[in-house]
Amino acid sequence: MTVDPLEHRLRQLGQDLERPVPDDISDAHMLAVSRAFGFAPQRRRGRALKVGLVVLGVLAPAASAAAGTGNLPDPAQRVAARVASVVGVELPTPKPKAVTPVDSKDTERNPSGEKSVKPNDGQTRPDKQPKASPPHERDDDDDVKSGQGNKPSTPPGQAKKSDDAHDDSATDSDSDSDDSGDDTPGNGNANGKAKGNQGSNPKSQTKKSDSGTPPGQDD
Amino acid sequence: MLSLTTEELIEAARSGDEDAWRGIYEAVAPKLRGFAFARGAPDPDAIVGTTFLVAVEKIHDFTGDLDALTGWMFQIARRKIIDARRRAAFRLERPLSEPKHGGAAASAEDELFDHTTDPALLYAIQTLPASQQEVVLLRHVHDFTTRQTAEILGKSESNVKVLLHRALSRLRRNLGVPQNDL
Repeated sequence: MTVDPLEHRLRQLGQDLERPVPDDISDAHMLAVSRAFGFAPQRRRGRALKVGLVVLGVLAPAASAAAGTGNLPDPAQRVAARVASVVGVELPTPKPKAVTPVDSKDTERNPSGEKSVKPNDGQTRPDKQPKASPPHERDDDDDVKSGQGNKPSTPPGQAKKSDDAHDDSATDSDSDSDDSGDDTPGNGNANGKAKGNQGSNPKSQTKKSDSGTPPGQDD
Repeated sequence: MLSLTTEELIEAARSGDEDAWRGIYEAVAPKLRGFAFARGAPDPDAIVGTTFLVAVEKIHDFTGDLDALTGWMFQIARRKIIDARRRAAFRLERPLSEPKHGGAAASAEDELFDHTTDPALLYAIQTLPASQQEVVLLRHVHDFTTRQTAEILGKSESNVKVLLHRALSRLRRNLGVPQNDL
């Protein structure tokens, strides 16, 4: 077996070409390698931290603004209000459970009572009177305690102020049913007083008509 | 590092051991540099550097022994060389006497060229088509097997054999070496 001269020359060329890399160049390469290994994970960590801070920076003001305007969901709004009250800041609190029974009644009646709700809604809008929420909440509570009968507060026999107050309290739930189609109490409370007026009359009226003799009148 | 098996060396490299990387560098970098120079890369040292950076980035995806690692790094270097040549092709042509990329590149080329005992052969290789250049360099200059060469180039073994045959025939003709009868 004779060695092919060309292949021999090629192997020789290989030995010529495979010379060790000069020290300064190999040091620079190794430095780059160690940096690439050392810094890559840190860079990722730093990036994650930055993203986290940005998200926090965006979410925190948004959440506090929502809490301030009462736009948070009920449970969250309640918690926010409690926390803020500790610090001495008053935040709108969602109207408590009081609304739920009323709403549940409404939902039961909705299928039959929708027609009466819509026209009244239109009438009540101009009556929007933003008022302080605490008294209305009380009224609501009273309504709930006494049951359906308290709702017919609108009847002409009563004083305007008290009417308004009752209207406000009752409308919260109605306005929700009109606006969103849901009777979720949280939204009504969170959306504030102005909305509350919108649906107050419809409820009281529909309830009157549904329940026949409201206990409120008995009082 | 010499006391480690190749598996341990590669495992250490995966975990970021600097000594392991130095061992791999000493074993592979001279071959990569010679390959890049023979393929006519504008800056062989830059090819070696970028190849190692890519290897560091992707070492977690690699499996195999040191031979396989060498082949894998040649694969990376080959792509880098193609990119570098493509980029250089877009640049304005300059007279051969001018350094192409400044001091470092010129010195690397000069140094390798000065140590080449057979410049005529090197020139003859560089006049071959790219695919034949690669096959000759990998198969006969850097002593890869036909299979390894095929893996590095992403070709079939039979394709590599055909290319090698053509390349050797052309080299013999250009260099005036008598043709070998099969």
